[in-house]
Formats: sequence, C-alpha cells, structure tokens
Amino acid sequence: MKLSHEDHKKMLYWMILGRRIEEKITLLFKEGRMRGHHHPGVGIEAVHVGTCYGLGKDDYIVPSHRGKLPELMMGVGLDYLLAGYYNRREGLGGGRVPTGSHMYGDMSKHVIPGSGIIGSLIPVATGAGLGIKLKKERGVVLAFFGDGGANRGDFHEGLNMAAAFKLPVVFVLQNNSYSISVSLRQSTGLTRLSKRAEGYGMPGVTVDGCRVLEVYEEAQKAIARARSGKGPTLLECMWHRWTGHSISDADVYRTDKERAEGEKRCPVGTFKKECIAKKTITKREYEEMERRAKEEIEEAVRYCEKECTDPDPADVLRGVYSQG
Amino acid sequence: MKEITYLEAINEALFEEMEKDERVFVMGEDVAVGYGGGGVFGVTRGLADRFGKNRVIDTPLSEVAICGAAIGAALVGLRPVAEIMFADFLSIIMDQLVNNAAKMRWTLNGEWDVPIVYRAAYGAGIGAGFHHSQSFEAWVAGIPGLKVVMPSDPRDAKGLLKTAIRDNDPVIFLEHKLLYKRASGPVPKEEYTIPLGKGEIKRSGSDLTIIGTGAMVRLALDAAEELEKKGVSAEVLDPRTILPLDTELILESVKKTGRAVIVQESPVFGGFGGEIAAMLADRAIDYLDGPVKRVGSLFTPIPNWIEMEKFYLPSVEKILDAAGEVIRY
Ligand SMILES: Cc1ncc(C[n+]2csc(CCOP(=O)(O)OP(=O)(O)O)c2C)c(N)n1
Ligand SMILES: [Mg+2]
Repeated sequence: MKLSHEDHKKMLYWMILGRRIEEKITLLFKEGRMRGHHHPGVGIEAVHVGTCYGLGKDDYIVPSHRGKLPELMMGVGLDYLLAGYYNRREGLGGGRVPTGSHMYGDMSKHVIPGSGIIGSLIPVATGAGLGIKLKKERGVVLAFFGDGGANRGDFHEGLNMAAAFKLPVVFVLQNNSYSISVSLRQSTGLTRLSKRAEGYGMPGVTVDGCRVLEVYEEAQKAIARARSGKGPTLLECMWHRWTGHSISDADVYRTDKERAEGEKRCPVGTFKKECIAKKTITKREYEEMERRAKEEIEEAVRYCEKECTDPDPADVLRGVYSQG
Repeated sequence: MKEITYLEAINEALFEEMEKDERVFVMGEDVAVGYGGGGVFGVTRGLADRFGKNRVIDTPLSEVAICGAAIGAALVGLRPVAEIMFADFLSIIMDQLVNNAAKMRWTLNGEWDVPIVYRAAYGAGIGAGFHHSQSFEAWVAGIPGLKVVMPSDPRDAKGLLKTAIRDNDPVIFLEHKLLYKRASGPVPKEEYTIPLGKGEIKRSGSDLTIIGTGAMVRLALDAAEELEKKGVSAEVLDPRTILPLDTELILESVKKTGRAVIVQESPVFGGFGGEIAAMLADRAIDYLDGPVKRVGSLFTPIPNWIEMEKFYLPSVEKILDAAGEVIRY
C-alpha cells in the first residue's frame, strides 16, 4: 500500500500516543497509583507502527511485554487496556491478569494473550498461522518478541515449523541489544540475528527500527509474502531502549554515551521532523496531536481511577474451564 | 457390541470425530505415513488416506512447536488433536501446557475456547526403558485449566476420546501403550460418548475398594479374582479421568466397603493416589476400617530389563499384600 499524507499523519499520531502512554504509565507507577510490573516501550514506537499499520481484521498479533501499540492498533481501546493495568473489573482481563507486564489478550480483536514466559508464544504464533492456512483464510500473524526471546529453543522450533509449512507469519524481532542487562554480544556469536533466518529457509531482514517508513516498507513485503502463501519472514528491527528494562531496573550496565547515542535516533522525533519538513503536517498540527494524545490518555486514566470498580475477589473462580 | 482393541477404539474415535467436524485435525510426528501408515503404534492409521495430509499433519521433531502450535490453531478456531509420541516428552512441553494452554481461557475472561487434545502414549511394561515408559499424570493433574484422561479399556478409550475432542478445554489424553494391542473388549456399534469426570465400577464388591486407572485396572481386576478365592469381595473402581476426579463415586464406594487400596503406575510419593488418600482421610474417616494403602512403582528410574521392570512396577502380588494389610488391620 502506497502511503498518503493522511497515512503519515495517522502513523505519527500513533507514535506520539505510544510514547506518551509509556511515559504516563511510568509516572503513575512512580506516584504509586499503579502496581505490578511495567516494561516501558519508550523508543519502540516505529517498530510497532511500522509493522502494524494497515493490518486488517483477518490478521492476528502475538504481543510482547514491550510496548502497547500493537494491541491498540488492533482495536483494543486505551481505556480498556489501562483499566487492565489498574486491575479493574472493567478492564482487559477483568482485573485478573498481569496486563501491565505480560499476559493479556483479546481474541475479539485478534490479540492472542501475551506471555510472561519470554519466547514461549513463538510456537503459538506458528500455530495461529497453521490454523489460518488450514482454514484457507487470508490473514497473517505478527509475532513480537525481543533479542532475548530469540535465544529460547521455542524460537528455533517455532520458526523451523513455520518455514517448513510455509505459514503466514511475520516474526518481528525487536532487537534492542539487551536482555535486561545481558548484552547481545554476551548472548550470541552473531551480530545480525536476521541471519538466523537462513538456517530455517526463510528470508531474514534487518531494518532500522527507529525509522517508521523503513520498517513499514519491509513489513509490507513480509506481510505480502505471508499472505500469498510463500511463508514466513524474520524481520529484525533495531531499536534503542530509552529506559531501564523495567521501572525497577536502575540500568547501571549501560554507559551514558551509549544512551545518548541511542537517543539520537528518536523514532518519534525523527518522523515528526520528516513530516514537518515534507509539509505533511504543520507545527501547529503536531502540537494539536500532542494535545489530543494527552487528552486521550488523561481521560482513560480518569476513567480507570474514577469510574472503574474493583473486581470481586471471587471472580478468580470464573472461567478456569468451559463448564463453570 | 463388537470386540475391538484399545488401539482400534482410539482410531475409530479419531475417524468419527474428524468425519463429524471438519475443524478437527491431527498433528504430530509420523502420524500420516509412519510405521506403515499412521503413528509409531499405528493409532492414526488410515486417517491420512481418508482425510488428506491437510488434516493429518506430519510435523518436524519439535514437541514444543507441536504443543504450542496446537494452542495457536485452537485460538483461531480449529480443534487440534496433537500427538505427543511418548508421554515422557510431556517434560519437554510442560511450559506450553502449564503456562499457555492451561491459562488461555482464564486469561481471556473465560470467554474463549481452547479445544485441544494432547494424545500421548504412556506407561511401562514392555521393557521400553525410562525415556519411553513414564507416567507423568500427577504433574499435569495439578494444573488448573487442564483435564487429564487415562482410559483402561477400549470402550472407555473411544467414548472418552470422542468427548475430549468435543470438549472446549485442553485435555491430556493418556493412552497406555501396553493396552494398545493387548486389551480388547466390547464396544457399542452405535455412536456413544462418555463424560469426563465420571468414574466407573469395573467390578462390584463389598469388602474393599481397589482404585486404579489405565493398565492398573487389569491388575486390580486380577487381584480381585484372587481375593474372591479367599472369600474377600473386592470392588474395582476406575476414575477414568483424574482431572476432573469423580470424588463422589470414590466416596460412595469406600463408605460402602470401608477399605481402600489405590494403585498407580508412578512412584507412590507425589502421585495422584496421595490426593485420593487425603480426600478419603478428609471426608470418609468415620467409614474406614483400616489404613488407606497405596501401591505404586519404586522411587527409581524405570529399569529396562524386563524382569527388573516387573520388580519395579505394581503387581497383583503387591496389591494382594496391601489388601491383606488393610483387611487384617
Ligand atoms: C523464559 C523467561 N526467562 C526470563 C524471564 C525474565 N525476563 C523478562 S523480560 C527479560 C528480557 C527479555 O529481553 P528481550 O527478549 O530482548 O526483550 P526486551 O526486554 O529487551 O524488550 C527477561 C530475562 C522471563 N520472563 N521468561
Ligand atoms: Mg532486548
């Protein structure tokens, strides 16, 4: 799909929204208004918007613990998502699941529940692709996971089977060169993880995950390939983690220089500048977007804190099995 | 009624359910053409010819991918029957079973079905050694969200598998490999199913209840014959599914007989027999005329030499010893 100015505007808005959500959640944690786990997705915006922009209702995603944009772009409401973070009855997961950290989903929006067991959903994504293929549907599955997750055996089995069966899956490897504090260099003998694709007999591509249009272009190729029955692709997107691994990580293992280098590649700032330079948007329009994002987030927070209710502790009993 | 083997019964159940519902498909290693046409034991024989290789899928040697892919396929609307060639490999797929399959429905607020059957050949007795003989039912029976089925004869195997395939939750269906060709029995000619969570009295008696599943039921029945000769009337109760467990039937039987011996193929410590014994201590203590005894395997790896395996496994003699202790108490 050739992107119009309108598309660029929508993409920029998603990116701004994603960035501000992560910042807001971090603040809410610091203020003690939210509890649990949070892995900020500051810096990953271009990976998510570039891969998810244009997905349709036949498509599925398998989210990672990093960033919330894929879920929102699949149609999960921000108020509903955040209410899940707050463990509210009205929220995603009904207040029962660790929405903030890992495991939540909404099959009505084709969001397969994420997992707190990093990497374990890679074979599940393969299976969703198998299901789509057997049902002769046109959907594709986007599976999100990090460079750490790519070192699990599940990565090997999941990618191998997907390639063997030519399944409609795009494996989106969100490479920030760290698995908490363990660097990529310490974890593998490779520098480009996309090279692993060759070992499975599928294309492997590495893109600058801080440039949304580059991500979009390669994602579109991978999605088109998957849809046409040619099989999966491993799409490695290089991005920089702007924060510690989680809000409780002091991030003592990276140097200031490293952080500063990474932050030069700000995906939101870069795309904003491009849009303004190309006159896709005016500065005023950009400010308007920021205002709109803030408003949307504040309204969702207000809803969670003021309108939502706590679940009944006995709700824990509901839905373990199909019969009662 | 017709007389068929345990293996044929499972094969018939697969045939009938695949015929009935096109969302049902089979996947696993060597299920399409392996060993002369369908699984290393021949359980899936003929399915690929009838339903094609799109519904009888040979997979790579990748248990984690088989298990995980079944979850993905179920979430998008299919009803996979995934074969784990040997139940020993449950150790490999434990993460997928416990952390993904078992929790998907609950995570999705109870609103989404996760209809999967994991079929696996378990059990010892053929000298297959410790990597191809183990009984891990107690591991999976401790996981909320899973169901665990262990049929002991052809009629139950067919009726329970049909129900498992129609069930909307993940079911671990444990087939005892010793029974595949050695156990044959009457099976209704007409369509039937057996509910999960309902045990059956395989032999009625009044002095003692022997509880067991899978291959242990045959041993229990043989022990009951021996006891009969000594004037002891033993009841043999097969829970058939250990999760959910038919506690009511067990209570009813033990309250009647006042004595219980539980036979399990895994080692005694940590087995599901302990769960039944605890339940009886909790809810039937006033009815007990003797200790609740458990008969299980030794706390060692499963030996390969067939004579050593016999020494290791529960036997009719071991059941008789336990029964004697309860009766003489
Ligand atoms: C199987 C497993 N091992 C370890 C953890 C703890 N853990 C959570 S996130 C994480 C790092 C993941 O790194 P990566 O996949 O690169 O994603 P990133 O956090 O960098 O986005 C670890 C070790 C876990 N949740 N699951
Ligand atoms: Mg990482």
